[in-house]
Amino acid sequence: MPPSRPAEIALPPPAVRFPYAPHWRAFDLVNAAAERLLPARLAPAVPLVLLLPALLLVTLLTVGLLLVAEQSFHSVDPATFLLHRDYTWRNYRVLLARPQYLEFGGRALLAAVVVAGLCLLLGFPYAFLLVRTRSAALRKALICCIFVPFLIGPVVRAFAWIVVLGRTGLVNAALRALGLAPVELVYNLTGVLIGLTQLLLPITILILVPAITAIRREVEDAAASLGAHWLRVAWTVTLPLAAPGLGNGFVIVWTLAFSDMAIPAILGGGRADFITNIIQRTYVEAGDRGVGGALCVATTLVTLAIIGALFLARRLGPAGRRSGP
Amino acid sequence: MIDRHLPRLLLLGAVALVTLYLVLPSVLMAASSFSSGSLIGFPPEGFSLRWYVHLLGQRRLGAAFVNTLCVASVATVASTVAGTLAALVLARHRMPFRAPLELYLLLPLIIPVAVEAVGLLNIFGLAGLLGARWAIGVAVAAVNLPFGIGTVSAAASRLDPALDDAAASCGAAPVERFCTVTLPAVMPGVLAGALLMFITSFNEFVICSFLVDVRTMTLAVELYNEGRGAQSPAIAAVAVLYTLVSLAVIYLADRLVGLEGLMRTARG
Amino acid sequence: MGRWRGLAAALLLLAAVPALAEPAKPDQLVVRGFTGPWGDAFEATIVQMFTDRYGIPVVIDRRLDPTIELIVEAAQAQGRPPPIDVSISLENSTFREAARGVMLDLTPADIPNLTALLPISHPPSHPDSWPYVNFAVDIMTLVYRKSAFPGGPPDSLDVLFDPRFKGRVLYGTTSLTTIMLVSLARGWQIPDDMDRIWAFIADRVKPLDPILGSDPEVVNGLERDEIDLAFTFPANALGLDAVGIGWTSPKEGMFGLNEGLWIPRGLPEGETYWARKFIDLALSRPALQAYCTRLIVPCFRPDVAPPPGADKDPYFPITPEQFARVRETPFAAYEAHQLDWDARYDAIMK
Repeated sequence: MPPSRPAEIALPPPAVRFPYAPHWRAFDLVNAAAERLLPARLAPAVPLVLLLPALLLVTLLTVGLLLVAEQSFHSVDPATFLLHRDYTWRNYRVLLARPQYLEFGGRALLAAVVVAGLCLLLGFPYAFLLVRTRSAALRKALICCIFVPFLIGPVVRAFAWIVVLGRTGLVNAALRALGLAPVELVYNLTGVLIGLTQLLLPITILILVPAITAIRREVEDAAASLGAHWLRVAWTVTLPLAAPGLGNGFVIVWTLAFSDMAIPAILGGGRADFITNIIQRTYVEAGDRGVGGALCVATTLVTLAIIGALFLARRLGPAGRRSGP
Repeated sequence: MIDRHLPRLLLLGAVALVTLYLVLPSVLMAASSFSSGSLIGFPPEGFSLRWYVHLLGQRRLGAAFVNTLCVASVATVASTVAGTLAALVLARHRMPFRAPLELYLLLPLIIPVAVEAVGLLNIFGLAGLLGARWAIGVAVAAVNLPFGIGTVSAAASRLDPALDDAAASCGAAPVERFCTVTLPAVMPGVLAGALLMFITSFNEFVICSFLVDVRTMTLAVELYNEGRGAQSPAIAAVAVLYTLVSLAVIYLADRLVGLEGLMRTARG
Repeated sequence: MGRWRGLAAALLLLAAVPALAEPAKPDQLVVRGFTGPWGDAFEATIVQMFTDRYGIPVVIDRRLDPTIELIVEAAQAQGRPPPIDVSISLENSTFREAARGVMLDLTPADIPNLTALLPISHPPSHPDSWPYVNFAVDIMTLVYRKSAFPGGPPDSLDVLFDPRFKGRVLYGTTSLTTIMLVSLARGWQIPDDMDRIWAFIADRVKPLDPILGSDPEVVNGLERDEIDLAFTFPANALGLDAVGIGWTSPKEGMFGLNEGLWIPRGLPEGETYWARKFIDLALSRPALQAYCTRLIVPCFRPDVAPPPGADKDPYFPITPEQFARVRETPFAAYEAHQLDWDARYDAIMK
């Protein structure tokens, strides 16, 4: 015999009615659909599925790399500028035989390090003030100023620097007014560094802000209350805690500075070409798909190796225990 | 007494200099655009609106502007969706090959732009997509994807997993948890990334110069070609209009979330 | 009644014949053009004339030749129509593109005005066909700042190697113009004397620490007092009179880069027809007269009058003998070595 149902317990009517909200109904439907599409046993695959859009987008670009890599294994016929049919290592041998590529690459590498350092140096106080200030108006103004440089576009911005830094520009006019000798700040590597730093400062600040936000104000106050001088607080408390953000910023800014093409071209006056400019000239303008292609592949591999090494250093370093980027 | 205020003064001074450094070119261009002369310089010679009037007559700039809006919108949506999902997955799930995956997702910045352009030209050509603005948008999204991922992962890495567990223990299913707990928590990062993507896509010209034709010409390419000629204050005027559009977008973002909201992150 | 109907039918048929012979007009023609003063002149003269005559709007695509070349090649490789119908380009681009085979052969049957040009308009590397047609020449001369030459305009190319202009002179970003300059100044031959040319570049040109750039950098540099001297096209100095810039022809002679027109292969039949019509109109006397007068460049049509004042200008070639004095760029030799020479130039100068 089935067990009898327990006696109905008379409950008082609920004091408040809880209607089943429509968005809860909607979520029930969505959850049910999700359950059907991706049953629980496929749950381990979900992360991969969610990654798929990003991976597909990047794969669009890697196809280009494979295409160019394929081209790099054919040599160019100088009469027709078309690629020969047979495969050869010639282009890579040419690459190694010409010392200037190393020079351009090295210049770009070091310049990017300088730019990344400058960006962190200048960006940190800015980000710090932005996070710590109690004035909402100041914060809003500072945020606006981060975006302002982006807004006029790369070419116009570079040209504005020529106007500021050139022989007849603002800086030299001021120097002349003070009776000092004019300084050559543009059409050379200096101009490129100035332009690149300004280009990448906003990104640096945007990366540093979350890192500094994570440092609770009370920690700094505690250190100060224990008698530490403000410089000491900054050096022993704030900077180490912000180190992951600083490391992250360094990697991103370095990559962006290394791969920039417009600023070295416009502000360098041909005297400060980066490897990217050489690639543009060799592959696109001269139409040398062979050596140009080899240059592209070599640059990509070297950059990948450097960033991979930086990643590794970040993970193994003192802040390496953080799991997030 | 000065000593107490010294850190504050130094900080404010440093930030003031950095701010000047950031905005100087824009201010210069804005001033030059009102010049009545034909040379960009400072101080501008005279005051006149003639360059803005000159712009009004340029129909192709208007068409280019509309094209750029389309491209930037598609790029922002695509990149934000893909980037948010990717950043959340990488931050929260213990995946095998996580470091190589992160490196792979950084590839758009590593591969030289010329290579990316050639590849995209060939793929889109084969697929017959070269006249479609949305395809250019997808290409721009791919090229700038690391920005979209980076801003969200900054927020995602501080996401407290306890929140998610608490919601699960209350009976919320995964999709619901994502929509009501995870997404709102990283929303500042998502919106900051979207804003960054929109502005960056607006200015993207290398990839676009290979993928457009005269019908889908974008503003950045058009400006670059103009800029190779005489540098008249006309390009300064365009830059100012550019800035105004972008400022309008930023204002919109401010109204929607509040600019500080973009910088805020969830605290556990 | 029948007679009139027959006559009307005959007249209608006669009227229809030209319409039948001509393909439908496309809604626009895409022409790749230059930027700067060349682009403005092109738009104001040749392009305007075409639209006025045939009613087809022309859209100018100002992207640079190497970019367009990549795009056209990709389209042709995939069997798609290229994005441009006609292009006007300098010969350092056209000779390479012709070698690659991206161009449609122009025939005098389709473009009658080809026969009205001087023989030097024919591409030297293709004696039996017309992948492109040269119709005018941009001559490079000395463009200088008057205040740097108080004793009068410089008369020799040697000023470009004068150490007193260290940092104040501009050279090209690729090897072509510098090699030509040195060979012209020293009287050396390309490619026989290349070793001496390279040695000269390393010893005399590199220490000048020049700015390297092309037309926009020339204009900017002269306007903003960054450079005093450049070996470039006088068109870059148009309008810089107010800043004290002038140009002059040196005693060693000049060399020129030809401007050419070409049509890419793979266009739909109708567009090919109108592209040929465009070139034919561009090569006609009124079009070339307007274009070359406005830019003050010599053109290859003997019945075009030189711009006012040009016959007194020693550098302006009008007769075939004067054209002979302008050294044509030896593209045949350059073509075989361009890639290596560009790389070597990079190695020395940067």
